[in-house]
Amino acid sequence: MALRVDYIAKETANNLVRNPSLTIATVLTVAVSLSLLGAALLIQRGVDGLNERFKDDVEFIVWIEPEATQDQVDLVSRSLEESSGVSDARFVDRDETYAEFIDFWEDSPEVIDAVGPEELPTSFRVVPVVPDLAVVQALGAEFDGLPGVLKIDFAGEYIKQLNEFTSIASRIMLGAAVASAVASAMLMYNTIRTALFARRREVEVMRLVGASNWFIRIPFMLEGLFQGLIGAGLSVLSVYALNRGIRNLLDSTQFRLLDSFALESAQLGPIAVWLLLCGAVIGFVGSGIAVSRYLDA
Amino acid sequence: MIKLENVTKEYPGHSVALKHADADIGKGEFVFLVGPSGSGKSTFLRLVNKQENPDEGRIFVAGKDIGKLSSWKVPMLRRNIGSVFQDFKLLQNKTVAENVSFALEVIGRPRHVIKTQVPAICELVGLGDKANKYPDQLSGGEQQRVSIARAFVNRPLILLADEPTGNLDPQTAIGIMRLLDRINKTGTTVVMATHDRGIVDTMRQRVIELSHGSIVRDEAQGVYE
Repeated sequence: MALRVDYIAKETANNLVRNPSLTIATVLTVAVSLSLLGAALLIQRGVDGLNERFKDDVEFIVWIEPEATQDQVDLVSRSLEESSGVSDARFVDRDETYAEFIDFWEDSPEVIDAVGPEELPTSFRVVPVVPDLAVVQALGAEFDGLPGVLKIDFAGEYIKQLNEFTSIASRIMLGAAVASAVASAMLMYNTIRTALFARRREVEVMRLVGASNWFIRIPFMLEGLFQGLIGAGLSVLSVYALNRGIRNLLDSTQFRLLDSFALESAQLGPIAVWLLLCGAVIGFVGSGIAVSRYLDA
Repeated sequence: MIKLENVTKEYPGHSVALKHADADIGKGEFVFLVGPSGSGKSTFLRLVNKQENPDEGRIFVAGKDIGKLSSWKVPMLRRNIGSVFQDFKLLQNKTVAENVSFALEVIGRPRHVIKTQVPAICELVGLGDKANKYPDQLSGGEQQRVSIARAFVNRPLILLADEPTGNLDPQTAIGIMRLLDRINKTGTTVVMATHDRGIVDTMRQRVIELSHGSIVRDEAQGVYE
């Protein structure tokens, strides 16, 4: 049977404007829940990017006490060379440390003036064989007790903490997104049920004269689909806005470490596709359950 | 055309609506279903167009066991069965012509068919000049004519009428019966549930009488009793 496209388009449009307050509520709920999902995905991408950048650089620094003797330094150097877990260890002497120090405090001459090269500790920059944080930490601990060692710093430590924090944040957001997605599907179900109720006489006549089940269902399911997609569209806009906000924030603080948290527009494409897909699914599931519960008998 | 074999239908919590009913209605017949309220007349009609399914027994429409019909084919069955009700079931926001063409639109009939069929059927039921009126601008009898036009516009094999004159005064009812009689003369099988004694006695058609869900009488050219 040929479905009448113009009829279905007209009915769907009528359904969408018949109960504007409910339609708007549904669209906004979908938009909020998918915005949360989008933000969670954004953070997830940022964490992935962060880990990617630091994957090869996980290293630790063995700081030597400024008063350490040359024998003590040699001992540390030898044990690093002999350790099977260390792939490379580079000694950074006082001059190089001071050069880095000046570089780092470039904008604060008063700090540079206050500190002389002799007050800075020398260090070994160590690249481990296995760039795994747990292994690196165990390895670093081996050198902690050696005489003349000031302390061990793990470059990975900071990353790890950031990682933990962001993954917890993204998990919470994901949980909230799932909960509100369920809520919006349920609201969708009720919206479509209300639409079915508003049109119960037409539906009754359609059934009596032998309209096919799909012919009756499609306008209602399309109504759900459109509401889901409009909500998803709004959430895509809010994710773009969020990303732009992060980008501006990062640009203004020049905090390069977190650069991966602001994605390029092209990278947002897959997230947008996911959100639209989820919006469509919410619309179809909510309206599908409503029509199958209230139309099939 | 319609055949019931040992059909029983029970509504949970209520008494039996139809029990062990047998009936055989031929093509082109005009049959009255009579009996007091709750005797099973409406259930009989609702079973024929599969708005209800029997608990027991089999129902054949045009030779096919409709119990074996898959759910997506039920609409095809209903396209061959027109339905008319006591309360007309017209859509108030549509005109006479729109109410009638709605029945064709939703089963996907092409526009040119609708354009020719709708005025013709409006003419047939005597509402040619009221095609653009809304239901609330019409009398009860006229509204029932619209509903008959809608039920008949697709030229069904069977017309089921559930107390079609129940809301009408006797004079108007006679007009509706004339219309149903004309439709029957075109070869359409008409099954009408009623408890209007005058109509049944005047028409002298086949009468099936129901009492507490059982068929207690089935006679050709019967009266109400």
